Amino acid sequence: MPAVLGFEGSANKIGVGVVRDGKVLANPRRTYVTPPGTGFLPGDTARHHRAVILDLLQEALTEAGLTSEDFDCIAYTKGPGMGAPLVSVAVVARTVAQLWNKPLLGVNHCIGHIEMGRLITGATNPTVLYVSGGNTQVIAYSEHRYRIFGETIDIAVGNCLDRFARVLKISNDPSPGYNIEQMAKRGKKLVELPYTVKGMDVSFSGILSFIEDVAQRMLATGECTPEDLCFSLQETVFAMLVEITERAMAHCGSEEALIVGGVGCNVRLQEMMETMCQERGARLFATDERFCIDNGAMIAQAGWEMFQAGHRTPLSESGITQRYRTDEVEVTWRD
Amino acid sequence: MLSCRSHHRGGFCRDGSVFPATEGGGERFKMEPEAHGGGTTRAADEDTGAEASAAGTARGSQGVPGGAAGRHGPGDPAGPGDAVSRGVPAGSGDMADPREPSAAGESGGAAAAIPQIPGAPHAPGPSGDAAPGAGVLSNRVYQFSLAVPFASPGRADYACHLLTERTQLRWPVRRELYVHGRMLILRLTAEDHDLLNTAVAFFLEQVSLVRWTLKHFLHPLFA
Repeated sequence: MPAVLGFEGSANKIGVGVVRDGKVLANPRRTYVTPPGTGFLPGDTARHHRAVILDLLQEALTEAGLTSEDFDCIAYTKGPGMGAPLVSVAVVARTVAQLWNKPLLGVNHCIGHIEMGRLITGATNPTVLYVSGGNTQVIAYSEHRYRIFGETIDIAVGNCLDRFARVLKISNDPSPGYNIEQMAKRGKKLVELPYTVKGMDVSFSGILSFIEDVAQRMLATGECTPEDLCFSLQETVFAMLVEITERAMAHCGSEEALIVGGVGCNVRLQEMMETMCQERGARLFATDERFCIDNGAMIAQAGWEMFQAGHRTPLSESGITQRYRTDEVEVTWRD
Repeated sequence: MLSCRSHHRGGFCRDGSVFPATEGGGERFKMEPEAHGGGTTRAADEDTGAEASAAGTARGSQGVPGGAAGRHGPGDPAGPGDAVSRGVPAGSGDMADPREPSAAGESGGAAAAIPQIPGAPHAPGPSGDAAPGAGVLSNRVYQFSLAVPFASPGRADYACHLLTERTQLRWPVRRELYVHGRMLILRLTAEDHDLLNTAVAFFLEQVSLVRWTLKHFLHPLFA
């Protein structure tokens, strides 16, 4: 029964997870939160991760009730993500792997989300909508690769929401996206915003520029409230995501859809996707915030799959890469 | 342990004193080797057209940038232990607390004499004796050297091995990393002092992280 220790720290969340044979034994996490109106910078984020990672590791070991001898493999996020935080986490993973004499596995962050989503929900072969602060992709599995059917051509949907939150000085605690979601529930007026779908791809930089531009004026003149803007932004960007997901599902003949990534926690997005799936006779799968948001267990789970399939990462290749495409990985653990 | 003194930007010393930033950011930096282990740097020459040293190179120098590391190790008991960590201003970091007793002799002990850093630093100089791949953009080259003591040559070698492969910088900064006895020797060379500053901070942080991980998880029997 292989047990895998997973380290995740590609953005502002750092997590250490333990997975053994499909069971999550531990999954502690810390989030680096910056003041309202600001975002998180790589250096400061890495500093935060360095300050907490060893305590997190100890916490994970204690919670799982395991010692170093119990692990078969150490997995870490190889990429994509922010460079400095990735390096800091990789250094610890590498050190621990060498100390405990365990094989090391570099995991693709996006595949971590997918594999955790599949494990938790039981979805067999879904079309995946992966939406987070750093990534927005529509993915489907085919011939040993997670193929990207559609994606953002500029910024991720979560990045769009986070940067809009900064305009309104919305708190980043627990996350700007969550606070936008709560405000959107109180929105009453739909403000027309640019809707940009380009075939299978989406674009969010234009809608962000537009709303950044008009927000202050509209709020000052009383045309709308901040809640209306949050509501309008969500409705617009989520509709775009639903459209490209449906297009991918139609292309693949898929009867399952799976939402992963931090933005996947958004209940409104889940509602809209559910409506689309029902219209198509498909099933929607989603996880809760424990596994939607970046966490160590997803890296451990993906590492578990890779370990079982015989993957190993030599120390000489145990670096990080800020740009690591989802379809770069050969998914040998699936038929 | 690292011991340093910086007059370039606000820095800190092992004894806890803090140096305010100098106005205008001087380029003179002097790092004094101490018994606890320290780094050395060549002081900048006054004149821009610096005379070559005996090694045939002109050297600038740069101090450890302020805020490169704090006084507490990872898992700072004074830091946030909650699920949400607040944004911290620059300047907090993860330097070992000098007041802490060294665990498993990790810090090297107070009485150990610092060895001379072996090997003359070399860098491209005005004479055109350029290292392979190095571009000479100006007559001034900055170099930073550091010796970090470990409890044993084995641990130093371990740390060197862990840091060598995947902490390669993408900036035009040349890095030398090797072990001499139980000292891990780092030498960084660059023509841009800002880049050197960044590289120094980066490496200090990685060394600190490896050191703390070893301290926490290495069984004393295998030290």
